[in-house]
Amino acid sequence: MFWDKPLETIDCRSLQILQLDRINTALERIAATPGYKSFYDSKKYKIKPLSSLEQMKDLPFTTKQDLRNSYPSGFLVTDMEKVVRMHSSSGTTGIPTVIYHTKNDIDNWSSLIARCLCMIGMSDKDVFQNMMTYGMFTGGLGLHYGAEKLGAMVIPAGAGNTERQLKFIKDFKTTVVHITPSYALHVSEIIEQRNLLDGLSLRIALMGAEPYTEATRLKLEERLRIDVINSYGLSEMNGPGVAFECLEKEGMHVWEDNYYVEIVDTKTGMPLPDGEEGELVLSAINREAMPILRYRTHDLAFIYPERCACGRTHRKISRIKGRTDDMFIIGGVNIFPSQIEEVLMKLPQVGSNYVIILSKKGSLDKLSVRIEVNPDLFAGDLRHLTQLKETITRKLREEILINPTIELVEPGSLPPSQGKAVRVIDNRDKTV
Amino acid sequence: MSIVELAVFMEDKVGRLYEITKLLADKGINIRGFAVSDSGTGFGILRVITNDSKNTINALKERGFVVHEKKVLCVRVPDEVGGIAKTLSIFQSHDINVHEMYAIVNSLIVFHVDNIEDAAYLLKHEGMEVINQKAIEQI
Repeated sequence: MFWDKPLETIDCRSLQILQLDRINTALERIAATPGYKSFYDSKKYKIKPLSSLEQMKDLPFTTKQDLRNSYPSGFLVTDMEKVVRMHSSSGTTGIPTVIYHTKNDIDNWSSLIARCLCMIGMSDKDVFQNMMTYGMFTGGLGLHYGAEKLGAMVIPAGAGNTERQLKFIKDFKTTVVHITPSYALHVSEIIEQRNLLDGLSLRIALMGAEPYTEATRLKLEERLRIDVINSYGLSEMNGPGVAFECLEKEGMHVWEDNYYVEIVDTKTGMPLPDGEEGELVLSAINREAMPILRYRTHDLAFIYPERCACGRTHRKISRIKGRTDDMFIIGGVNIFPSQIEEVLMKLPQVGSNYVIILSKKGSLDKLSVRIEVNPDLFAGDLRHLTQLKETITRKLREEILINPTIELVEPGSLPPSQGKAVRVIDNRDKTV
Repeated sequence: MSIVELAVFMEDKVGRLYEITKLLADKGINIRGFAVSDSGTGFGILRVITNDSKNTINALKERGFVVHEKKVLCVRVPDEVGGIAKTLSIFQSHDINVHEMYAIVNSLIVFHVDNIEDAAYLLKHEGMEVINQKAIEQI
């Protein structure tokens, strides 16, 4: 099923003309915004209309740091009165990244998501339970608006509270859920244990926000007798709806009329041909409030060189194969080790050495931080240590929104940090 | 009047207590008493009283242990029925709160109280024997 058949099946030549036109509009508006233009000035790039998409590769990349430098609104190209919403990255200590949306932007983003949902056979007859965190996290409101646009009944359940989720799924005959893979594994285990499946109407689960394997997909599909659909998005590019699987379930279609997609060599930054793996670089070319061109996602993927059997002409990207930086994703939340370091280093009782350990408890992700105690500030009693543990737990939870397990250890028991030591040990594969 | 207690931060793992006691033995240090408290969350604290607190600290720190030195009250409690209760009744009647207590050699008991000098004075006034650092080193 198509939401917008002419656009979804647009021929290659027309798509390129549309892309070029949209990129040039974005460039024109950037050039007219001093705060944004100065970014390109600083990169010694003179903004002028492109005559072909070939010239995109000459445009400087935009990084997360560039977005931070523009905080709070340097990259906003419309008047603030036209803005109806902002989304921001998580984190309270560092400078956040902020993305602004006009009414048209929200409308357009919702349409892209409606396209995704229509593509996998959803319609106004569906009951859609959104089990993602609402608020700043785009997986909440993004899918919510898209599903409403499609006409489905939306249950804005949010994440967590499994008993209530199950009650809603059962009582409202939920047919489609949007959920992180780790939470889906957890919920599906409970459904299996209590033998609830026969009373449910579930048929599709949309999954994104964190990486998962094909094996996990098959396990969930078998356990719940549903289709599991892969979704990809990032807040800098709106959020969900950037790329989405069709029912072929092999690769995610990138809506190329809205996103210009490139895979570049991680070292040279040069674009790679379709089929070769590299860093995914995306441009939001159809956004009024805040166009972003050539954004480095740090996600590794490749573009499928062949056409999709579903009939859509928009190219597909593979699952995300990994990251080019040290970001990790736990329970659907993106975390940089530097966020944890910043919290720890503000506490004098904490020594200079620590290790972050990711593991699985049942099907849920678990984050532990092993920290060496500072010998100079040891007060000789358990009370202080217990308080220290509680303080660290609370401060980390405020920063990364995940409840960590803190383990205090003796100095010298962790491998010494050597410059940029490996601070993150991911045991999740081993403990599954 | 007080004695020195050394509190050692210790991970809850096999052989850790042995390692510390062996280290002190090798240095010729005599352990007069000890207590272990476990946090239940992967670590605990070993408190030791030795005949040579300075060398004990040095030996432990040299080996990378986290050590805290603390002054504590040490009292000889008669080894008889009601001996401990009698001592505690003195604290109780003067509203002195005992945070920790443990027995060490020769019928001695170590107490953690807020004001050691006041408590020592009261105990002596009641005819109890309060032990000083010199005595603990020379037992």
